[in-house]
Amino acid sequence: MLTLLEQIDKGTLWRAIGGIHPPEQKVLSNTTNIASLPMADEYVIPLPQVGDNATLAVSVGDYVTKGEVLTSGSHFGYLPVHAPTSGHIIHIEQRPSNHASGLPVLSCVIKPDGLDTLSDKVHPKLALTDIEHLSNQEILSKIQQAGIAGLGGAAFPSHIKLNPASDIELLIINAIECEPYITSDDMIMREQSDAIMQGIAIVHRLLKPKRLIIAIEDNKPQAISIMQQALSRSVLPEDGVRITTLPTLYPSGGEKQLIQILTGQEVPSGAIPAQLGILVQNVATCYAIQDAVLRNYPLIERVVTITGNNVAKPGNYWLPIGTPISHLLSQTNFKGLDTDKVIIGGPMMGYALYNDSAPTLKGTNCILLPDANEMAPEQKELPCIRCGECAVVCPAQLLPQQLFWHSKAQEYDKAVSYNLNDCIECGCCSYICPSNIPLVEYYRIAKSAVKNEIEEKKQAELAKQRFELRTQRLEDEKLAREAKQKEAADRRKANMSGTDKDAVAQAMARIKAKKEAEANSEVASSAPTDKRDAVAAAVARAKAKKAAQTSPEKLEASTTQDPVDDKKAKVAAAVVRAKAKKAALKTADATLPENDSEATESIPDAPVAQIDDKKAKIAAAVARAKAKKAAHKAVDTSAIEPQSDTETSKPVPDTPVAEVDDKKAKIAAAVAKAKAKKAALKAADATEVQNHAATSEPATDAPIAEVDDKKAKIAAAVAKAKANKLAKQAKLDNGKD
Amino acid sequence: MAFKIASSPHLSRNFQTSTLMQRVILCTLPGVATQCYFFGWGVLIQVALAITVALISEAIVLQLRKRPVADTLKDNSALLTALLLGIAIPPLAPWWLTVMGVLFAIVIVKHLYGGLGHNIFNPAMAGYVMLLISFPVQMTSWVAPMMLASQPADLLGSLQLIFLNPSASEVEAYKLGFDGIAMATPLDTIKTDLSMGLTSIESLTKSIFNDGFGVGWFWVNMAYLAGGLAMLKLNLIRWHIPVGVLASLFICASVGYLLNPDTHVGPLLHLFSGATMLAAFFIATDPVTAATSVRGRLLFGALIGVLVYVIRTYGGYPDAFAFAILLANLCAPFIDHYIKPRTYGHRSRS
Amino acid sequence: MSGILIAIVLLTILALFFGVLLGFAAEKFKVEGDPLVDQLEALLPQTQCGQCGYPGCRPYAEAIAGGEKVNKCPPGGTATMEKLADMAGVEPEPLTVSEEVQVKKVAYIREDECIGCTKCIQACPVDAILGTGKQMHTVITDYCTGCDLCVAPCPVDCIDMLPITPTVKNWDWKLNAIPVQMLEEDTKC
Repeated sequence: MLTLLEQIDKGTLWRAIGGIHPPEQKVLSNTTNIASLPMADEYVIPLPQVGDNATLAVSVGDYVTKGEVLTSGSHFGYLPVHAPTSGHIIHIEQRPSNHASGLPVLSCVIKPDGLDTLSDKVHPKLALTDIEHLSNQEILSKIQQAGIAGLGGAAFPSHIKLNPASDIELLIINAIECEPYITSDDMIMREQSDAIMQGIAIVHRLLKPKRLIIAIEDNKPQAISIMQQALSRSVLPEDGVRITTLPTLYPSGGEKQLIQILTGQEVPSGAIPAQLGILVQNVATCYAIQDAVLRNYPLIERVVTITGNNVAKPGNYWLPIGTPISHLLSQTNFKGLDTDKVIIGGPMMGYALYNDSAPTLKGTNCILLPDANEMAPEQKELPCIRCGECAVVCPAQLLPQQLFWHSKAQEYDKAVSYNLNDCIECGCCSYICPSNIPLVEYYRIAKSAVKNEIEEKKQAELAKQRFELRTQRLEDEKLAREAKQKEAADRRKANMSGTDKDAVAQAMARIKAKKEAEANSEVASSAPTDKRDAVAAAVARAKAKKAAQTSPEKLEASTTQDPVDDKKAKVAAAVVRAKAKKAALKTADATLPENDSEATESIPDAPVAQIDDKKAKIAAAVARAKAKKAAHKAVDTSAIEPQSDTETSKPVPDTPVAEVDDKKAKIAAAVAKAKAKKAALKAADATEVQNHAATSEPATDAPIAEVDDKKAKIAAAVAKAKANKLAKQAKLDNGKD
Repeated sequence: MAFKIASSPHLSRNFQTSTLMQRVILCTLPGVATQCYFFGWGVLIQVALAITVALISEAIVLQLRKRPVADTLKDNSALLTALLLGIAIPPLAPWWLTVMGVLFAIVIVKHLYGGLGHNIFNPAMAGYVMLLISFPVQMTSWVAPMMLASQPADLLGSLQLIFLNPSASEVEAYKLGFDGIAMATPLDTIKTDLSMGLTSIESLTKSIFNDGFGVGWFWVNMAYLAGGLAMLKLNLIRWHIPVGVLASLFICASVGYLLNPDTHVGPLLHLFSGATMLAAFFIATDPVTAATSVRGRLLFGALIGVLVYVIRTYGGYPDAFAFAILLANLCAPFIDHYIKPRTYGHRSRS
Repeated sequence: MSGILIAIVLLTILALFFGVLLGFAAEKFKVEGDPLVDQLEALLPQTQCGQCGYPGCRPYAEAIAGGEKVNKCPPGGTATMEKLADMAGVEPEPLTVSEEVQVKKVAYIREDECIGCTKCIQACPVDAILGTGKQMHTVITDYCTGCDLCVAPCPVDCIDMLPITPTVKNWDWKLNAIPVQMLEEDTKC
């Protein structure tokens, strides 16, 4: 019985499970050398981590050199993003993503200056011996700073992968490239074999595995022989390093499948290969690692296969990351229509892209442009005849048809019991299905649903916990309050025996109020002397406001309150006034120059408030500042309506109102007025004679508001609300006209 | 520019159900031809009649079920069901027998259960069993092979016998051997003889066993075997079910024969008589009603083999494939539930 | 006569035997507590919105176990109602409130309009609103259950219920419903 390592040394292969042999079509793109394309008009670099664990390091208008870092971060999962060429940043905005959904993501758009000035951090290539003094940590940090992610498609950050928690016994360099059409790894192996070997040597140095296998499929004979020669030239040890040729079979390039074929072991469900002491690294990533460590050259370009019958110049190209797909389509003479597909990745696992303004990404290894006859024609889904071919080809040994039944019936829990989550979405089942059932699509939908369900469960659990904690806290607070009240009552009883009963009672009341205020610090908005009254008043006010919006008539009855001498209320009043002013100012500026004078009139309103309270003054000052700002901004706007005159006159009467002792009522009035104004403003655009009448009403109302009596003010608010309605009506009529 | 979107994979083998069914039908042709050679025009007439009825009834049911008629008819599944039933029905059985059987198979067994892919029972076999139970006399009166018959039926005669209402004596005439004794199928003969106290060796001396396996039946089975091997070669079926059926039947028959050669017939006679090869390759492999996993299919096949042997030897019917297959169909969901492959990365159920 | 006697004796013995067996089983496998309430609660969406008329999801689960109707949970929708009915062993009934389109929403405070009154903070059943008196408040969207309870108390109506915008991260694979949107008309090709 040979040990596993001995068997690996012998080159033993284990039986691959499932798999298919789709037509390869690799010849389309692997006969020419890797070329480059002319520079695009702009490069779109998605910034997926910004806002998550990275921050932007540049802003619009900045000049960046090729290879300059665009983001900064310190999180261990942070992966920097670099400028693919030199130029100016013209936008940082949401752009369509290179993702199956096509949803927009935050992207940095660079307009190249055409000089391609290289960042000064990139230095000439060092030899492997020059980096011997570097520690593993330093090398990993170089890899991280170069932004290297797996180039096989999944784009997992390499510095995390190359720093596994457990010892790695077997390192597999994945050069299988089993998807049809794709030849980018094939071509880079043919052209850059020595650099790849250096990259592999760096990875080998980091991980110190007992064995290293470079796995290549036997449909790449040229690459195999070139790599073999490069291996013999390289610094890699002769023992325990070998190139293993695998028979062509899709999907033997999948990480789990490759491990099974090379070692006979299975990665446990839900685990990563590192738990078996195995690590799989893509061959193109090794090239990028070499660039990063020896040259300090970040990952800003990669080899992309552009192939398919819809393209006149199929082949492999060095493309800067962030090249818009539309650019490379035009450069390679794309001749398809919009009824054709643009597939990112291979024909088995790639996704069709909707919008060609999306850029290429680090994981984009192929852009497949098939013509109408090349791919499977769209066929109607027929009933499953349970032929079981899907189960035969499934590399994960699932029962695809059972999964299909359950996914289709939305019995996701049953689908999960058939190990839905172990599906690698390789597409073998859909490929083989005689009934044209898009099985993988069903699984994807089911997987999404399952994921959401789990997420919702988690959310629900969290909500429940928070709810329970809150209930507990409220309960505790209530108990504490009761205890304090009782204590206070006891003390009062004790004090009652004293002489000056009235005075004591007053003091008691004060203490009690204070304590309540303290205990209920959360409810800090209104800490009035008489809390209950105030709350009631607030409630009444809120109701009144709402009522004012719906039926102004009700307002009068409901908004009588007691005056409350409270600073806070004053501040609130000031804020509201400020807002009112703001609105007024805006309207003022939007109108004729004459209005300016009126608008400025409204500024002195704040001093008019003459409230002793400093805070109120500050608030007023702030409000004024804001008002000015708004005025500046609004100068541009040019709605020249006579009606607005009357509107802008409204703020004048508003502020005197603030002088009145009863602030709360004023606030209510102010809010109502502000709203009224807003509505009126909107209506103002509609130049109708009716508006005149409607808006002049508030003007007459305003003086009334000056009266000390609150009720009158409320009435004014009501009137204004009515005016609004009229104005709105007018607007509507106008719209109808 | 915006493009068409679709879910991966974008490639497909482009090999469809209709092609599959069509090729299976082609693979039955050697067997059908051989059967015609030995049993006359009746076979072809029954097949043609069954296919006509099947297509018409399928079209009507699809219409009623509001399903696309033309598209669904093109999947050739009704054609295959009718063909298999047509082959199984005695060549000179009256027309209404075939019509009734096909209607039952297509309308009740297939469509009332949800159409292609949803039926629990193999429609052809369910139709056959219904006929066998309801009309045992007509269904068990198989004609004598042409070369042994006293009065071989020509095309016209066969048509008359099938479509006109012949008297019992007329039908009987075609079943008589040249020795004037009513012929039965070889398995029937043995069954009757054994029940009358003869040993199997004595029974095998009868004229129907002139070549050791029953005249004609051996070659019919060989022809179906050839068709079945062609299907394996063309990847139309997987080997598990036929091998399961034949191996278990062979083993059971061998054991029985070794224990008591007098009352049991040899394994080769079991394999090359009756409907063995037809059923093992063409009927039991119907994917809709079979188990789906690899081990499940082996078990499914083995179950059929054992049931066939048991019913042939101890049951009341001379041949047993229809019953065995229906019983195994019943077990298929059960087998599927308990025999699942071990998913990659999962430990086997201990 | 003896036949009847034997039968009676046998049946008596059997009855005794099974009676003892059942009694033993009842003691041995006794289930503590009322797991039905827990199971029902697990089905509820935990929005704690109170639309069922009970102060939270657990009280409603207890009420269902006590015979309350299962159709009073609008956030859960018909799916939850059916599960509840199944669990409680009653017939499903249509929801009391017409089911809204099941788009998950979260509260969003228009921050420049917030006056810092803390009313919404007090209303939030899951403490998902952050803020203090006279300071701007904000909703911690991850914690928001979309229960709607904060919208009504707001005196300045600055709280909106907005559907969660799909992003690349929370995007669902539903091909026929890919939210295809053109951000800008690309005229280059």
